[in-house]
Amino acid sequence: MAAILKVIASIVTGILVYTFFFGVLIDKPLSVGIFDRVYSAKRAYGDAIKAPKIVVAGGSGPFFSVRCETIEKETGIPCVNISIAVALGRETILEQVKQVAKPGDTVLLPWEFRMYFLDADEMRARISFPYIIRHEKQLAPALGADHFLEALFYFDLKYLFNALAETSRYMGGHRHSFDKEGRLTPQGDYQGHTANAGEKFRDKIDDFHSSAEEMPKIAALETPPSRLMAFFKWAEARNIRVLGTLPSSFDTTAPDQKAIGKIQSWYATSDTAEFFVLDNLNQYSKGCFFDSREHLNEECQTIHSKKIAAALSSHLSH
Amino acid sequence: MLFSSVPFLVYFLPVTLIGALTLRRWWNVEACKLWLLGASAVFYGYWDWPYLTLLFGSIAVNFFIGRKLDLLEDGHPQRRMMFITGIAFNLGLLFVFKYFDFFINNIEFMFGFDINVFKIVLPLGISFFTFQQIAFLADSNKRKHILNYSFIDYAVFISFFPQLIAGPIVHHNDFVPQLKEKRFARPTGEMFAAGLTIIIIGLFKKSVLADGLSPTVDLMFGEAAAGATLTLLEAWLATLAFAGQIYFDFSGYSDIAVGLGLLFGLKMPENFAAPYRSTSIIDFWRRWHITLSTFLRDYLYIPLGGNRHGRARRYINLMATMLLGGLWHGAAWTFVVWGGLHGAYLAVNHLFNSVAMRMRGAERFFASRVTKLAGWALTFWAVGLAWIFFRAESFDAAMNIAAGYLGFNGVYAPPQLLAMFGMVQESFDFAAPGTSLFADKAMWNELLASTGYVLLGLAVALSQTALRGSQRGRLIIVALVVGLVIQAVFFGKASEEFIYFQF
Repeated sequence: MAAILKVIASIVTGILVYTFFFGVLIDKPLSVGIFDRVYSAKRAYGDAIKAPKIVVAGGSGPFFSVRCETIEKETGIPCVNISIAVALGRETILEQVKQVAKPGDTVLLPWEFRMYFLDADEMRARISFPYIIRHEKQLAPALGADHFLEALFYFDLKYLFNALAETSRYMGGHRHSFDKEGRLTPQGDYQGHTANAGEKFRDKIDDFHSSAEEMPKIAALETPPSRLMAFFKWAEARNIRVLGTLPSSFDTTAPDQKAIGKIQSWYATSDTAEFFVLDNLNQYSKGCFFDSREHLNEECQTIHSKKIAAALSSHLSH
Repeated sequence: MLFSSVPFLVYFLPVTLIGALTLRRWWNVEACKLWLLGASAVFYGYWDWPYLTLLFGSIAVNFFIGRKLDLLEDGHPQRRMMFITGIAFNLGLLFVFKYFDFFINNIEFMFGFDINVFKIVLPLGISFFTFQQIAFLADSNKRKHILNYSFIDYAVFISFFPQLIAGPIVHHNDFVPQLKEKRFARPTGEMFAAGLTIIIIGLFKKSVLADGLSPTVDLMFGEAAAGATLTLLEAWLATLAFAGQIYFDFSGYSDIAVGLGLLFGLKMPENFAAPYRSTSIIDFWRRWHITLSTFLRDYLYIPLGGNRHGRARRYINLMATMLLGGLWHGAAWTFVVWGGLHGAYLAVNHLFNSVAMRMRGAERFFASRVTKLAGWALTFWAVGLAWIFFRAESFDAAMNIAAGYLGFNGVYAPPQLLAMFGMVQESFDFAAPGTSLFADKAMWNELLASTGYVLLGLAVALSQTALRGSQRGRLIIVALVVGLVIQAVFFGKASEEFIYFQF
């Protein structure tokens, strides 16, 4: 029996070693750790400003396309942009909002279309699992038992080899573009992505179709994203206003009105939530886009943010 | 059912184990054997149940012939006929199920016409259980049995699920007597604990290392088959990756089989003894697939005359044994070339030894570290070259990779790799990249991971000792690898089939 107990002890020790190794020691500073550094900077700004404030949250679309710096100037209300990447998933993005938003605040969700219809597994299959286990362990309980185990045992040898390579590059001075000095405004917006700098992506942009083509998938959803609905309740209980809007997209495909109606109906279930669409349907010509079909360049980011600021002022005044 | 799959580890194994241990302890040993027989049938039938008739039919025929050989007196006219019939039955099964398509394809190729025959699915494990039964018949013919076996004992021996599909090729005299021993299905705590640790280490070799190397092997051998010309580094990476994959895949399977045997109180023979540490080809074949080498030696090489009829005959026997050993692995000419290469290596190695050992100071020369290191390097290189033919999808693809392995296709290094060492591309590249893994910048992370797996695989393979080591050492290894094993088995992508299942 003692021999078998030793095997069990060895297995338990092994699990602890694995957890310590990947949960504390090993990191991918360029593709996972980057989110922690950017989130930390954004949260620090959000914590430093007093309520009422505006919190912008989504994937990289609003990170590049919405500028809190401009909204702050236009509305006179402090604003923090905690958007980073869609791949982190709805749950992680909303958990970040919960850490920053306080009673009296307004949360703006200009979500990319796929954030509504990608299921949790599709989004978690990327980087939110290692991000949570390595950098935001306090979010782990929100994953539930099944997903917690999936997150804990996400790390394989391939991850380790790539982590070692990334660490070596990071120590050699290589930085993710989000991490370079001057890339972020104090409010957490991406900056420096000028139309001129985006010229090298012009051919790529020309080849893309509008992300609005994804909207029928939203219209086809039978049930709303449960985490979004739970978030509305969470916000309502804390007197936090939630405003949604469309993401910026190419004007080559008109937005699907059924999808808009569906999203609006989800928002309408909450007394403190509302979904609005700008007069240009949040659409711009391809020339306004930087390096992807969801990232406006800096010039259009400012124009778009002024429009959003005007809409926010109108909604917040009543 | 794969050893590294959830259905096996979570459902089949616990139920089978608890059933066997309970029946043995609280009822009787015969009930336990019947339970194991039933469980093994489920294990085999899970893949394709109609082939159960082939397995148990083959068992019944061989047992009947073996029993007849036992009963007939020496010199009885029926005895020789029975033996020949038995061997022909087994080889006939192998021919029909394993080599028939190959035979037809060659006829078609030689005579340029199509023969419309049905394609036969290769039954799992047929090469293994057929060899075990040939050994049984040969020993029955020579009256080498330690015991008289009951049908149930014999059927449990052949169908015992840990070794049914890919060995080790257990000898009846090593296995059946254990069914009469006290420890059968009543293992000691030490045996059980050793079994568990060996299984976990086997799963690490298979699910983490072999399956981790598999994408690199598939990609690079696949591109070579599609016409890409592999340059030196590409060919070496492909070869080392496959050398690691096949070793960890097969030795992982063998470890799990040995470990499972211990859980049931049965000791199975070792199949590997750190083969990549071999310092000569002769040494390699004492360490690689030991149970197959032993079978080929005892039931093919020695009956052919072994080394009893002069040097030339010895080399012919060696070559014949290795060619057939190659063909045993699969019905393709690439396997024959692999066997032929090893036959040639062995002949050269024996010839070299016989000449060199006559020279003055030979013993000191062979014992020196430098000689051993040179011997290791040459052996590793030669084994690698042969692996290319073993894995390649066609003879042309094998020649392409072999040319790269020998440096005939030039050298190319990815620019990112050169940059890491402060080198510029122009100073190093003497050829265009052959595979997407080396040519495509987007594949850089894959290339890094592939290189990581190969280097780790080499480190593990070369740091192993010939013996299994102590249980204490195994417990430390388990603590280091069990997290990765849980990840790979329960949360990773589905485990790949063991390579030796196709043999």
